Amino acid sequence: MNPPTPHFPPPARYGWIRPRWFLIGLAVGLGSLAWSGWKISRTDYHPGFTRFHSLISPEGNYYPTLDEMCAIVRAKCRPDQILVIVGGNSILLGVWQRGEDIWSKRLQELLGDRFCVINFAFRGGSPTDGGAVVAEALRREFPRQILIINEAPVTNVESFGHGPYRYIFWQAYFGGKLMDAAPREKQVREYLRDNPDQRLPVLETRISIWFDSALHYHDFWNWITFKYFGTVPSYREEYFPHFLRPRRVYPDPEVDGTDPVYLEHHYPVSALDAEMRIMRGLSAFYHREADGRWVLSERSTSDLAMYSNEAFPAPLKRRTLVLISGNSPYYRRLLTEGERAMVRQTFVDTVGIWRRVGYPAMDYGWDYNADDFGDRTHLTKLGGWKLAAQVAPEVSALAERLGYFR
Amino acid sequence: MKTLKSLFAQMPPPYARILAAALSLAAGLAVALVFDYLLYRIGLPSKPFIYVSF
Repeated sequence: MNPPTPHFPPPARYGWIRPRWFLIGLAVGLGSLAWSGWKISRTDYHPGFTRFHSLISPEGNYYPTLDEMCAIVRAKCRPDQILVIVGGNSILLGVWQRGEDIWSKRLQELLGDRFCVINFAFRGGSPTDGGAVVAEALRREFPRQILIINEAPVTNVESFGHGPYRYIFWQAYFGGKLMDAAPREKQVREYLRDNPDQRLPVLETRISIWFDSALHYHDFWNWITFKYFGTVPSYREEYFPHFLRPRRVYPDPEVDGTDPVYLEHHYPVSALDAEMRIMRGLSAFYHREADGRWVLSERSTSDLAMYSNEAFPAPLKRRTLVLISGNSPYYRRLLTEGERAMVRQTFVDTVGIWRRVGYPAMDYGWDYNADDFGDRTHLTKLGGWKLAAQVAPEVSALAERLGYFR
Repeated sequence: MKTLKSLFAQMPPPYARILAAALSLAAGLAVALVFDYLLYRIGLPSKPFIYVSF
């Protein structure tokens, strides 16, 4: 009897696929991608970084990771420099200011080479978003650090970020990069208790972060999206094929608010009612005494004190400079004298409460003119430069008090 | 797929084995890439963030 003729391919369950080689390919592929992602997470690929403008921020469906932001800090800040991170919202991001005129660049010039200013503010960000998380995560690597944040008067701040930027907080929180802070733990627990609809998304985020800590896919695909080709559509640009362009080729779209072309966009009549409601709305927290003084309600005072007190872990308060953002005189002049006194009082009270619970705090904008603002609250480059001139000596004095020059 | 099968059938067995292994390896790498990208996309919020200034 003849032996069976060798036959290829042998009858196989998986056709021409060789399972062993397929699995080796899968493992090698995932391993290589994870290794690349890990390497990238420690590499700064934002040369000349100024800020996360709308095409490289969640607005443009680009979600910078915590590691990506930390890599920017490591690349920009020398160990002998004092790290100054700007957090907060669109005002500190520099809306109405081009990258070359941005206030944080002016702040860097005024502070000099002993400091390194990095702008990690986001549109609609809260004081505990982005920049605040990065600063806390880097507290051991850059112990000489100052965080600048901003908020509107009489506004409570949650200690674990908010909205579309909370993912950065979760990355640090579940990644074990934050300090132990019992009040913050309590706030997170209460948030999950009071918002049952958020339990599943937070669990999913936790699982995703766990996978990402092993595979580093967020850093890898962000890098591809930034440097080589778009892997996700941007809500700010046309769809296919435009979104395939790498994000690095998009210029910072922020415009110069002092350009006469934009003058009519600053104070549109259509926005007047809404803006005035915001200005006058602060009166909801106040009552007026017989002698004409405006007094913040006890409830608002205690809420504001509690939230401010718990916003940051106690050891980080002293290095956190809180700015209370002012409004344009264009709208202020439309208030009655009594309303103006009330608005002024909101700033005095808010700064007072932040200071009372341990933060250096200041307000700004009360003596700025209408040209310094691009709208009710955002600053043009003129206002930005005034802000930089006001903040620089505060930062310097703070660094001195904290012993950073020793 | 048929062409691939007939290609295998016409090849001397050692070469066919090497080709099948190479293709299987490449398929594994491609699946890894797609899986990695899917994990990334699943991790992104499905609702767009539209900033409105107040």
